[in-house]
Amino acid sequence: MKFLSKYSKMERRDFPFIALLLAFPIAQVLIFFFYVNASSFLLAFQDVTGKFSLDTLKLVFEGFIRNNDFQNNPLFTMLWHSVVIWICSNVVCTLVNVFTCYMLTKHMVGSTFFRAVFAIPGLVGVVVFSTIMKQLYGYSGPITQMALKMGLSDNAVLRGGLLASDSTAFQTLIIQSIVYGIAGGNMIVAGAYMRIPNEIFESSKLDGCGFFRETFQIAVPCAWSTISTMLVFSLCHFFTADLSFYMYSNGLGNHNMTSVTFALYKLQVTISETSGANEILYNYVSALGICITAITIPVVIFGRKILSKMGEDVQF
Amino acid sequence: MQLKKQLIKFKNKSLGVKIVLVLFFLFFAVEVFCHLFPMFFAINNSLKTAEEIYESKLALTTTWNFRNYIDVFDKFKIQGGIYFETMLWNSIWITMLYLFSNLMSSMLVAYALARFNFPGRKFLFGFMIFIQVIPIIGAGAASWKLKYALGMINNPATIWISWAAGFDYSAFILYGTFSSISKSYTESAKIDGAGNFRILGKIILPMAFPAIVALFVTNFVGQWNNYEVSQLVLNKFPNLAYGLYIFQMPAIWSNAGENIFYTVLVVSMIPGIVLYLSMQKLIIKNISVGGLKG
Repeated sequence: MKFLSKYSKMERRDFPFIALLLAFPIAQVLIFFFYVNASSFLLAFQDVTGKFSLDTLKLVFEGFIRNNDFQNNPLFTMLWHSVVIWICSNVVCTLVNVFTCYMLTKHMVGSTFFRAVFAIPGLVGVVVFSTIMKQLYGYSGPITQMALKMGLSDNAVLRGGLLASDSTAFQTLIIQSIVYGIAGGNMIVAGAYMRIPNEIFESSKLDGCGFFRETFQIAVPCAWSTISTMLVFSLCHFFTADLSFYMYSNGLGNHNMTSVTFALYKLQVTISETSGANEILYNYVSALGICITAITIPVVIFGRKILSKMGEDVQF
Repeated sequence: MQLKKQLIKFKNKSLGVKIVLVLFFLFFAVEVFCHLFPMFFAINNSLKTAEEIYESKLALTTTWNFRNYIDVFDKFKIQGGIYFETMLWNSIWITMLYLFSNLMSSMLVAYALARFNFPGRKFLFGFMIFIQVIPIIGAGAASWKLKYALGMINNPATIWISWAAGFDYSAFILYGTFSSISKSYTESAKIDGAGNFRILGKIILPMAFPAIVALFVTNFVGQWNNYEVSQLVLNKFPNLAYGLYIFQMPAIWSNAGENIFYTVLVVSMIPGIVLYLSMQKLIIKNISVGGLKG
């Protein structure tokens, strides 16, 4: 075994232990990642009888180009919604968090209190949070009343509340995602700032470095590896970003509360509720997934390349 | 004391910086209001009678009806006659089973990749990153089909195997923690005759304990609030999150009363908030992400 010769005797002695450590996780990943994804890929190219067929993919593809009327095309609308959500709740919020987290961690009185409060929506969970917010968005709720006072026209459609109208539901949830996303509660970015040694800031002050220079030329570059990693992770959600539409629309996806994730989840719920009786759904979910994956992967690779050129990892 | 220090620091800053800091403070104050108001709204209504809520949801409670928190055991029920305590118990065991299987598997992967040199190590590390950054969408149906074929649906004895994903985000975090522990500890333990199991159990795990606890807490919060698991694979075992999703439809809670509806909301958010707030510093210190280079 020639390839083993590059490992020392001590390292080779550990091989049985390593095999023991990795045996279960590798078996698990082979079944629940490789097999599942391969099976999903095959399902996309099959019909309900299991024979090779491009019909399901055609069905998905036709869904995208139906009538060349992109504005009224449900699949295209879902994709568009996901991109808008991704830009607002991932990119904008992460970038604003870079500064708000820095201010909270290094310069703000009561930062522990602020951080604890800003973590609340994530802690209470999407079911509780969305249920409370739905009450607040009701017609008699304080948010709708405030929106009306701020100039939103009071019409019959709005009588059901902000989430019961095609013209306001999506926008309301986008604004909500920004309001709750930019506060600076991102604990991973906060952790990155906390780990920058204070000596770096102290010596920069001795060298006459001002507040803004400290922020933009020391703090942000030091935390850049974390920030860029988070942005790369968020790229994965380019076409699958969602604002818990399933919860806000009670599983209906009405009033423009639709996204690719919503559609896929709704189909999965149907599969589960019918114990997989409608076999075409397996094929359709897989085919739709493959189409979305195929257009997401180049975005992720391109985005990662750009981000890696934007800044070097700083070691300290 | 710290407040005094901060104020002295503030006084010594230039006017421009003072303005920026004041603006940020005001921004944070507004954000605090936005974050606390929904919670206050739910807590306030959970302490009212149904009649009080009917009169006004925004008015402060006058009755302080703490009895709602006892009544919730009798009145919070969903289809199939499933009551609050059953859903609470389901939440506890589903969360614990998920955390135990997932964290154990992630720990094994992270430990092997971070502390040993072996054939295929680079490939496995690359694979772990690949799973994080390359999205594979729409595999849910195939996954459900497999679980159904294996008899895992509504089967707590086997469903945990599908949750025990070792090459996931937790492994990525733990990899960083295990890598940061100096190799000299294990080398000297080996010289003293310690075996691999002993090194893992008595040296590495105690040193990585804060990071493991931090991951436990963050994953606990996520899993406690996960309604999808009950909706898709364990629908005979509805947890609190799923029960709440069902209960929030007015047709279901109308019999119990709107005060019970708000009380259920408050009760189900308590464990996550308490656990996180008691461990906040530990979590921020120990959960770090950075650099995708192997």
